[in-house]
Amino acid sequence: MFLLRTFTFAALAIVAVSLFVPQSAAAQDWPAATTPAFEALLAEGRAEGEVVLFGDPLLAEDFSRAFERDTGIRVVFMSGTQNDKKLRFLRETEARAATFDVFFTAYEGLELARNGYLLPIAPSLLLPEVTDGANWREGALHYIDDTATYLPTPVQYVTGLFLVNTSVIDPARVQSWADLLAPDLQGRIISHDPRVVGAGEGIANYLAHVLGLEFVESLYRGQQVRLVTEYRQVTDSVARGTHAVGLGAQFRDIVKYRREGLTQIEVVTPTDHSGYLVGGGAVIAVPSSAPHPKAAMVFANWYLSQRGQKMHTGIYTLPSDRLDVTDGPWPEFIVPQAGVDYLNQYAEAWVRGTLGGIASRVQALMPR
Amino acid sequence: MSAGLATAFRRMPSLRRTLETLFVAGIGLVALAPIIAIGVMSFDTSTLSEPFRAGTAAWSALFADTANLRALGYTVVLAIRVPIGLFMALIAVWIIVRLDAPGARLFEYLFWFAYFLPGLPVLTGWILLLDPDYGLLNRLALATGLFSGAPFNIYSAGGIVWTHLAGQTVPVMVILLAPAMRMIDRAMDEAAVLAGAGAWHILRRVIVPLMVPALAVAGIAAGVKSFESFETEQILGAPADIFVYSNRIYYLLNQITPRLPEAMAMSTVLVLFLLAASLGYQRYARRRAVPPSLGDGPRSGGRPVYRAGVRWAGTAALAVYALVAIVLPFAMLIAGSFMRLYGFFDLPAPWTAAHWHKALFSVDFRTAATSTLLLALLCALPGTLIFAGIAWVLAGLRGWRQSLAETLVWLPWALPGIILGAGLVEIMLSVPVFGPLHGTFYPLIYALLLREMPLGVSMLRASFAQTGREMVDAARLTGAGSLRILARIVLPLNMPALMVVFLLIFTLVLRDISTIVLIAPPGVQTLSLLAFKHSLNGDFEAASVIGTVVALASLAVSALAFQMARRVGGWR
Repeated sequence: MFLLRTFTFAALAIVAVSLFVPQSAAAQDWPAATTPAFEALLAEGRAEGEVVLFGDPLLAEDFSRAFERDTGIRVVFMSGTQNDKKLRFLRETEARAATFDVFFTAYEGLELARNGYLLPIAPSLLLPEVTDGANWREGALHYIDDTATYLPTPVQYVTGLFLVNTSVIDPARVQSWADLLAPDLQGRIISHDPRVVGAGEGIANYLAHVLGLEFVESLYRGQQVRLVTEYRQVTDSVARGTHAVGLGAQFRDIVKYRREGLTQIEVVTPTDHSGYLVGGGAVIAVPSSAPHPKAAMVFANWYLSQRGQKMHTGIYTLPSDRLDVTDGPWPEFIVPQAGVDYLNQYAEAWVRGTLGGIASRVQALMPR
Repeated sequence: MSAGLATAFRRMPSLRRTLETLFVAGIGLVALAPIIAIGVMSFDTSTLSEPFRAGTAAWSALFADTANLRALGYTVVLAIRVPIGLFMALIAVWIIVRLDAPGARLFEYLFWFAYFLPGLPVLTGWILLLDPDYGLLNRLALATGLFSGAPFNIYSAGGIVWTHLAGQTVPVMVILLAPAMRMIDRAMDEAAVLAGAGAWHILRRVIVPLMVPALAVAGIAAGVKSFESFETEQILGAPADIFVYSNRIYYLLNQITPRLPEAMAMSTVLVLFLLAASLGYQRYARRRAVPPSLGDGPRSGGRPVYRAGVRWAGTAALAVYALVAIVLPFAMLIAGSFMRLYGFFDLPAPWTAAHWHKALFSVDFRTAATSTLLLALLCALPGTLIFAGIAWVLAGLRGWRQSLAETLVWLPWALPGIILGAGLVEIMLSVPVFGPLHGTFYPLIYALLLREMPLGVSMLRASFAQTGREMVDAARLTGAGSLRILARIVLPLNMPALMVVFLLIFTLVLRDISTIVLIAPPGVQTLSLLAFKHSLNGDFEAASVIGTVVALASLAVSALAFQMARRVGGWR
């Protein structure tokens, strides 16, 4: 009884504290243009009261507050490491017992979408500025799934580039992937580790696809590439000149280091294979068992609108596919260039068709 | 329990045995539920949207993949830190508790402090000190002209072992061993000194034999826990191609379709290993004819037993260790929190207080601090009492019931947070009666307490065993029931151990990420998640701020707890 009373008291205390959290009122300047269908959806979403977002903790503060201001719907945020989040997302969605409404993902949701565990988002996109193809690069909002229904990916940026320290190597010497095999670069390249999920793995899979497994082996084993699991170690090591070339550095780090005066680090776009497109975990998925499905769809509309994309891309330093979201803090070299044929790794064809076969062979080449 | 009931209880052995069996069954249910779920999941071969289909594919893959076996091998090799840590901690505790070295209390606080320091920022500090290319200590060593190359390499087995020793292994063992050594009667030292024995001789011939049970528990606990370690090996091991069990688990879970059954099979192997260790320890304990300590506990006051020279030598040894292993990385942590760019001392204006302002004055920080404090108290207060109750009942069990209950209590220790969390989620989603609990606080509190139950119950059990037997017997003769004896005699006399257990649970909540992420109801944001957010953003400077705040807050809590323990329970 004592324990029960303690728990009950604690629970009441938490509820009492939450009552003092001020409720947000909707802002008047969003959306710029609306439709009766969206207004009805917004009313239903407000009636649900809240939306539970499950994503990177970077989105917990300014981003969530902006949504609350614009819609009057309260945000409850869940976050965690990549592994933990993915496990909970997959298991709860599959059991149709989700405790969250929207999950920020890469391509983990593809199988779930094909088997009916996700709500279709496309039919609930009702704002004109979201549905109007003229607002999107290549004339339409991209989805990972081939049905263009479940997993919208409003961010696509170029990666698979080199980071070089210009004070220890002339950038003109490393203009293509083949240049990295030069004997004098042995032991002077550092990379995010392809043996863990992330940018390093993406680059190794990309190289295996465009240049073959032999090249991957020559580069990583032959050149004795230093493998590290912390992204910042790549930028750090190149900035210090410990390594001449870095692979898989985070663009946020590069921007930050250059801003602090370390201008000797420069990004080189390889001339032979100019990188590939990824979505930076900006894909959203809504489980079929989401506790607040209407509020989730209001969020989808807001997130894909100019306001939502400005907030999101500002935080992540990544460019949006929206053509009216420009002049953000992202570097120019990650913006996809017109006319360049990039490999898209955030597409069902890559994930289901190619990745599985390549990834296991790449992993087999890596030291273990 | 009233005196009448207690009498009836004593007169009805069959009722007593039934209740004891029920207690063991209850412990079994609590401890085994997630382990059984994990075992069952390891035999699941179904794909998405299929019901459970039994098979041994995961087990076959586990033993067929040499990477798994190599990871298990590296894990065992790196467990070398356990005996090294035991030796270092034993010496440290001996200096603090038995030698009464000047400044002993300060050094004990420092070990607690080291235990509270946050992992990732401190690890980054060590890299900054010991990186073979730019580490400050390596640069200093090279500047002396005595070395032709960098003498230290943090990216090596030695680097991993040292980082663990300094940050976790030695501090946690000091925390575990100090209460046990305090219970050894000081008369033993006095008698040995009078007989002409030197300090070192007394340590070897008197203290160590009495400490063997506590050393065994600490060794097994740290040995098994070392299997769970992930972050250090992930960052320091990758450049040297060193992968351990926990890295492998994360690798398996991180695939596009997580290889959950294989990860569960690997965890089951670890549970079996722990089971063997636990049974081995119990067999050893049964063979020991004498209890670990025959004394009445510590005596306070009085003149120090050992010569001043010995005591000051102890202080000097602890000071050197504390400077190198605790103060240095903490200094790097604080320096990092004030640096414009972590580790870059040669920028034109390298120092700034902006990270402190940004980290401390955000809504995030206030929310996380409140949430963490509430959750920690919600777990630590009832948890300590529950563990005390279990330990008290365990102390009264005999025969197979005692062996079985003690083994059951230890089993959850072998499970990493992410695996335990996954097992619990599976239970809640698969067993309809538990369904309504999913997404509430109850399973989270259960999981966090289950993770600390092995250590908490064992510490209290060892401490209770050393409570003066005659006091308990006298209370029984006067008709006091078990509950009254527990509340009026055992708990007050064991207040220091209770405080330690309270702090262990409190700290776990401060540090845990995986269990909270997998099980917590929506909206729970803790300081560890906030520090992770900054690390994720590449913002080690802000992560250092949060780390420093957590460490200082934990130190304040531990100081407060020590003061309370001293007042209530006579802690020296």
